[in-house]
Parts: sequence; C-alpha cells; structure tokens
Amino acid sequence: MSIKNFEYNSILDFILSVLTKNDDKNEVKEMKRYDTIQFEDVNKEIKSKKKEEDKLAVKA
Amino acid sequence: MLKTFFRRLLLYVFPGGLIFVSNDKFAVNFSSDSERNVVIKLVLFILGFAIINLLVPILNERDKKKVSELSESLSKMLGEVRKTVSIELEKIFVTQQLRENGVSDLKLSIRIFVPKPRTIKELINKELYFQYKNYDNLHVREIDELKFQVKPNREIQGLVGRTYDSKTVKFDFKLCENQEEYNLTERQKDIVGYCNFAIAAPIFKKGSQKIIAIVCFDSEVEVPQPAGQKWRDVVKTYCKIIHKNHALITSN
Repeated sequence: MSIKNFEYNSILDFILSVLTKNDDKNEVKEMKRYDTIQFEDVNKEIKSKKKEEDKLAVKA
Repeated sequence: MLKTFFRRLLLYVFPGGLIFVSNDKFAVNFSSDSERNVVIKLVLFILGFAIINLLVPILNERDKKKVSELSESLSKMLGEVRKTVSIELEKIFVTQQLRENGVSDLKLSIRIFVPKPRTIKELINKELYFQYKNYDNLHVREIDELKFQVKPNREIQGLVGRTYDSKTVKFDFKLCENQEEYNLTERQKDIVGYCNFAIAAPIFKKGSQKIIAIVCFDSEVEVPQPAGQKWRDVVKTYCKIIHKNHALITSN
C-alpha cells in the first residue's frame, strides 16, 4: 500500500470496529433487562402492610 | 464517538502546535533567510490563533445547534410514540363498562424524571432528588416543577422514590386513596393530587445498575387494575425507546 493510499478514516474505522465489537451483543443484553424487569403493585404492598399493622395492634 | 474525539483532539492540538512552533524560542528554523523565517512563524501564529479563536467557537456553536435540533426532534418523536402508547393502553385500560359511563379518553401523560444536580448540603446528607424534566409533547396535563427524594431510602418520596429504591416497575391504581403512604409534602400532594393511577419505570445506565431516569405514566382517569401481560409489554417497549435515547433525554 503506497503512502498515497493511506486513509485516515479507514484506520479510525478499524479502531472503532475493534472497540465496538461487543456493542451488538451488549445491546441485546440491555434490552433483555427490560424484558425481565419486575412489576410491583404498591397498592397491594400498602394493603398487606396495613393488615400486618392491624394484626400487631390486635395482639398488643 | 471515538472518531469525533480524535477530530476534536486534533482541532485543539494542531493550532496549539502551530503557536508553539511560531515562538521565537523554538529552535527549528523554517528557512535560512531570517526575515522569511519571521514571516513563516508569524503566518503560523496567525493561523493557530485564528483556528483557536474563530474556527473552534464556530464549530462549537454548530454542535450546540445540532444538539438542540436533535432534542427538539427527539421530543417530537417521543410525543408521537406517546400517542401510540396511549392508544394501546387505552384499549386495555378503558373497559367496556367505563366506555358506557362516558370515559373514552385515557388522558395519559408521560413524565420523565432525571437526577437533580446535588447541592453541597445534599452531598453531605447523602440526599438525592429526581426532578421532572418537561417535554412539551409528552403530557396532556401541565404540572409545576416537581422533585421527589430518592435517597436515603428511609426518606424516599412518591412512586418515583419507591421505583429508584427497588429498581423495579412500581404501579398503583389506587393512587388517590394511598396518597398518605407516599411521604409527600403538601406541595407535592397539590401537584400530583389529580393522579388516579401511575406507573413508574426505571431507566438504567448502559452496562450498569445505576438509574439515570424514571419514566412515569399517569392519568386523572380512574381505571381498574388491568389483568394480563399486554400493558406491561407496552411499558417495557417505551422504556426500551427511552433507554436507547437516554443520552439526549438526560442531557441538560
């Protein structure tokens, strides 16, 4: 390869491709995180907490 | 991004180098003719000076304009997605019975909360707040400035605080009834008092468990808690969209 054909951009593209090799894999992982996220009902939590408190109050 | 970094680096290093070599103390002579040498050094100095004082600010301004245009189009895009999300959730939330009672519109607002920069006092007390970031196209009801404490966990406020603490999606379809349980101030109660239901979901930093934003879906319409998985899938999909665009959403 002659010096005339040396391309600054192709070197950068090469560095970028090495550095971002795992990006696609990571992207899938990142999205999976939202697929498996837990949903929690606060109303249910509050009701069960109140029940517990009532039980304790009755015992006392 | 790396490409931009190298270009930016070059943009700062190159004029600095030009000014450096134009200095009289620099040993290298560009020409054997001393007068010509002075002229070359002067030209190099002017060139370096012009790049730093003209080209760099112009490029910075161009970048700023680009970011603001991107933010605007992002806001519009999120607004369009909100319409789709609203329609999807409306199909699930607004039951036949509600329709018969005259409820046809879910009046869904989507609100994004981002970390508020900490004051020295907050840093010392290890307090953290998430504040409401207003996007014009995301809500049907305007609200005032609003923030919720998310740290330390014994003082957390609202659904936002609970979501931050548990790193899960928290929802409450009896929000009005349960308002006293959320550790809210009178001002916060006044602002969010209209909400009959809300769903808050965390947005994580890429490759980390750190929460960088919280997305809230809320409405003044009273709806029964829906059964099934579909509404959860809609929320998850919207979270993914926010996650992909988080750099623009969380930037100031």
